Amino acid sequence: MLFLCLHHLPTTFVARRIQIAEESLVSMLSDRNPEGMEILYDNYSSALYGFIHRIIQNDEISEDVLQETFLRIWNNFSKYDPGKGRLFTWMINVARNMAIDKVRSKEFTQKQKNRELSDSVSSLDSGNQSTYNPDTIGLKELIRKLDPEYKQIIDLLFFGGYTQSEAAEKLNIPLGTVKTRSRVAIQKLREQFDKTISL
Amino acid sequence: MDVREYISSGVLDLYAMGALSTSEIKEVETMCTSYPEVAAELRKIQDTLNDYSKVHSRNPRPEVRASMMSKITATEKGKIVQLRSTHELTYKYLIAACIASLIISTFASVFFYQKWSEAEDRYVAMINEKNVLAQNLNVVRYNYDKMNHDLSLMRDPAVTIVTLRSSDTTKYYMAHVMWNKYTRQTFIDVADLPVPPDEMQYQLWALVDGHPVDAGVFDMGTDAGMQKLKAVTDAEMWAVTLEPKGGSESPTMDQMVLLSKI
Repeated sequence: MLFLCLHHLPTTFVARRIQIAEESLVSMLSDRNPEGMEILYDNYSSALYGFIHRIIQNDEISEDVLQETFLRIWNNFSKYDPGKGRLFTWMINVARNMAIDKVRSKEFTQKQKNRELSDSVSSLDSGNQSTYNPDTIGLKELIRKLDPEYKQIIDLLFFGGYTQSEAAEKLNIPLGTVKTRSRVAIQKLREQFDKTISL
Repeated sequence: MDVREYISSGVLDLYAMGALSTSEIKEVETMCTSYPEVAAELRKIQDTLNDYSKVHSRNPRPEVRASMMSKITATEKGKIVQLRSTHELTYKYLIAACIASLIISTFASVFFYQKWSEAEDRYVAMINEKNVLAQNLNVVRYNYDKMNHDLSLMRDPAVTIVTLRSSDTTKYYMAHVMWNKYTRQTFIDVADLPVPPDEMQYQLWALVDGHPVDAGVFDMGTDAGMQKLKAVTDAEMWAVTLEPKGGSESPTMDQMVLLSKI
């Protein structure tokens, strides 16, 4: 019961979520209808915020990046091509690019230094930070069981913005291994999700 | 191309995680359009990553939503206001241009109307002047023709000019008679004679073989000039008498006004 609605995840904890077909939402946003933006925010802000937070690891900066991400989605919506993939996939890419740009910016590294000086405790271990989302706690447990080498490759490439050669260098493994390990990592992930759904 | 091998290579997974270079990205996208199986597999991978992203879901502070929405409505309003204000500005410029051209054309109309009526007045004046000149020219030409005619008569070698003077030596009345000996034509040119009373007319007489012959009556007038009278045969003497209007058959001797010398 806990993992039933994973593909429309998570439905229970945000009361104002509106159920709307993706095509209708896309057409609202193409027409630059601000209401579409409200629905988009209500349906995806927690997923995008969690994703951004995973990269940035700071509430305030993550919220800024979240806002910038939604503004970019709003202003560049004409660039979204539904034939190329789901809306959420595209949004995750926008958020990912913005968050990684932020992490690599001078301003961020400066802040990060100061932050590390004041409290060096809560950085990097993302596991402790996602307690706001009770629906996914169980799933997190499962993912934690994922082989560290698979988790690591996804963390570097997907959340870290590493290219495959950068990842190869970082992990000190051949380029071909980065590829195959990525393949296996995602298949393992998929297995985990399939398991939770069938439960 | 072995599709299964391509899928299991892991390139789609790298693509979905954003770990490929631009040229590799293009390659994957062409593969997806050519092989539906590749596209389907990529979709599955993306769904897995989407789910994985959602695992990390957490709620931003509620203020973030309001702040974002106000920014979005602000960009929209800004656009609308800007659009409208540029339109208004264009209209303002158009109206200003219309008013300016109206004022200019009004002034121009008044100016040209004045010029036109001035020109019209001058034109009428010139037409009148031209008519006066033409009339004057006609008078001059008439006089010229007449004088030319008179002069040609006097210049004719066949013409004899006789001067007639007052028989009363206290008065300086005078006239000239011109007589052509071939054509026998007679002309009189009055130089100075008093204006005759009404019902009276001057009459020229030619003395032929001792007898007075009527040579015709003539009028007095400033522009009378040379007047053609009756043809007479060779005259010994000429005389002018004052006679009742229409002339007499024989001269009234006590009314003799002019007489030529013998």
